[in-house]
Amino acid sequence: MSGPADPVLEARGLAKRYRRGAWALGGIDLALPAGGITALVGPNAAGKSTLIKTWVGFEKPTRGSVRVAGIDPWKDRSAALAKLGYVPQSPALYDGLSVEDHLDLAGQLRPDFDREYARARLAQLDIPADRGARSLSGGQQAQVALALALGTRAPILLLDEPLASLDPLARREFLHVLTDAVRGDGATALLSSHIVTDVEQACDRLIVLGVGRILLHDTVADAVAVHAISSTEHADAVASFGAPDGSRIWLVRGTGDRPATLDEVVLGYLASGRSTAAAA
Amino acid sequence: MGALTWARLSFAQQRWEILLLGLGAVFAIGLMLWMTSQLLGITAAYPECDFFLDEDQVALPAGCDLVSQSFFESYSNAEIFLRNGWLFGFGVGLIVGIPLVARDIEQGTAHLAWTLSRSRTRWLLRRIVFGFTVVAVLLAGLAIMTDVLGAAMQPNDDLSRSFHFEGNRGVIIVARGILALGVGLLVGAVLGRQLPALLLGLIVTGLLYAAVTFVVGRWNETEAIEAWYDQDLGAPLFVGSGVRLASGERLSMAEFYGDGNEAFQGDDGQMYATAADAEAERDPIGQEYILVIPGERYPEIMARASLVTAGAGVLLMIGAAVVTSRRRPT
Repeated sequence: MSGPADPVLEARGLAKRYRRGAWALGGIDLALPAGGITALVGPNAAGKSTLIKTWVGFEKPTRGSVRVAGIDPWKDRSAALAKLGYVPQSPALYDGLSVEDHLDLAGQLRPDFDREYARARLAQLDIPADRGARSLSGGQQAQVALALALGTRAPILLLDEPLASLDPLARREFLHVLTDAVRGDGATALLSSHIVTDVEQACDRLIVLGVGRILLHDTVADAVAVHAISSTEHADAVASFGAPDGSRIWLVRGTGDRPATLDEVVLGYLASGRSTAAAA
Repeated sequence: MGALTWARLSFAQQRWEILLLGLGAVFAIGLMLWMTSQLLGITAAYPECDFFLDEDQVALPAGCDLVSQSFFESYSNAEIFLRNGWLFGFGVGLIVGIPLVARDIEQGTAHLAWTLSRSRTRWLLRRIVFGFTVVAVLLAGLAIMTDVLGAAMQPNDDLSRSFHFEGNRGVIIVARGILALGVGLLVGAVLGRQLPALLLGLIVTGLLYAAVTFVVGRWNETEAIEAWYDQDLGAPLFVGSGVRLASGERLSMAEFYGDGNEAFQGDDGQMYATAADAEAERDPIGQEYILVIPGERYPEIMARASLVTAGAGVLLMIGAAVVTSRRRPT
């Protein structure tokens, strides 16, 4: 796969197998360009978290390699982490610490942590600095985790399904803060999610991951523009899947009966991945 | 400023166990102070009564019997406390050490800490320094008080040159805390769960302490001197006994009696083949001896035992750093 000249996130032949388990990732080649927000979409167990965790240095590749701004996190974790801000799947904060304490902690752990920047982000959302982390709502906890990641002023942000447990309003606020920060700072963000509507609002690029493989990697605009839906069978269709009314529809590249929505593009590629895996 | 902020944040993360242990330490120190004052009060009020004289040989002044009874009641209570209170060192070490890594893994905060900090080892080192300081501060007071209480229990001895209550007082209590801190840290880092780590930590601490005690005991044996009971050696450390045959060969007691020897012993430890020989003190076949380390070597021997114990704890901490740097945060 040809990629951008200076990718900020790379995976080459990346495969990951857990002990006595199935392959979580089965040989991924990926090069992500600098700038914008990329959505990493896929069903549960598609390998989204595993992929992100290999870049963070939490998971060691079974085969292949990953790079963060050209740095292998398993060879120089410190340098790789210097380039990264990370928001975990369930943003766990320290129960015994207040929001302000978390900013102090981040300042202790990372000397160049921009406390004022993080504090300003939280102030915009009216999250009181003196509140204990335990008493914050799920959405507020996610915002604190995001503020901590943004306060690192790292050029690359990795967000591992931070929206999964949030209500729609909290999701929207979270994405607003994220897009605002990424556009303002010229950072690169990779946001894993399985909620396609959120992706459409906030993201520039889309990666569909299924059964441990990349099924689609394109800009959101192109992904929608080049696909269409056909109600009749197409020999060169990406895949067929059930429509909400129970009928069968085909996702095709090119022209069809009507334009495809982003949701349908994602569903089509996930269905194609599933049928390929079943055939294999 | 940075160190104070780190200490404040670290304390906030472990405030309940530290407060509980602090209260326990204050209570134990208070109890020992009270016991000490009881003992010192009796000895100061009755200087003419020497409670450790052999009453068969020296007549005590009238009234000392009752006072002596009161002294030894206090002594017994203090002894129970002193002989069991040393376990506190292990408890403090484990309770402070286990959460240092295991809680972050269990509660998911390791994701945050291990990505905000560019070096997990540096993060862990700072956690260890905090835990080490807490353990040292909590146990230092206890260590000092056990020495003070021991001195009140043995008013005729200089306990800085005596093995009285050896292993139950002084700096070895802090060293045991450091050993347990290392166990807690390593087991917590490996398991990543606090309760299982506590249960396994208790077992590992017990086994390691037995191993350290064995090593220190063998080391002491190599430096012990032969002596006999009535030699004035202060309060020595007893490390073994045996019989030196007339030929010069040394046998342990088990070896000596295991050979089928029937022996009669004189007051001075000479061994005789028959009762008549023993009565006449003629033709001894050997001399019983004891292996001891004189009391004057107490500071050196205890410092060594403490260093070995604490050193084992430090090795475990290094092991914990290796595990932490390689493991997953979940």
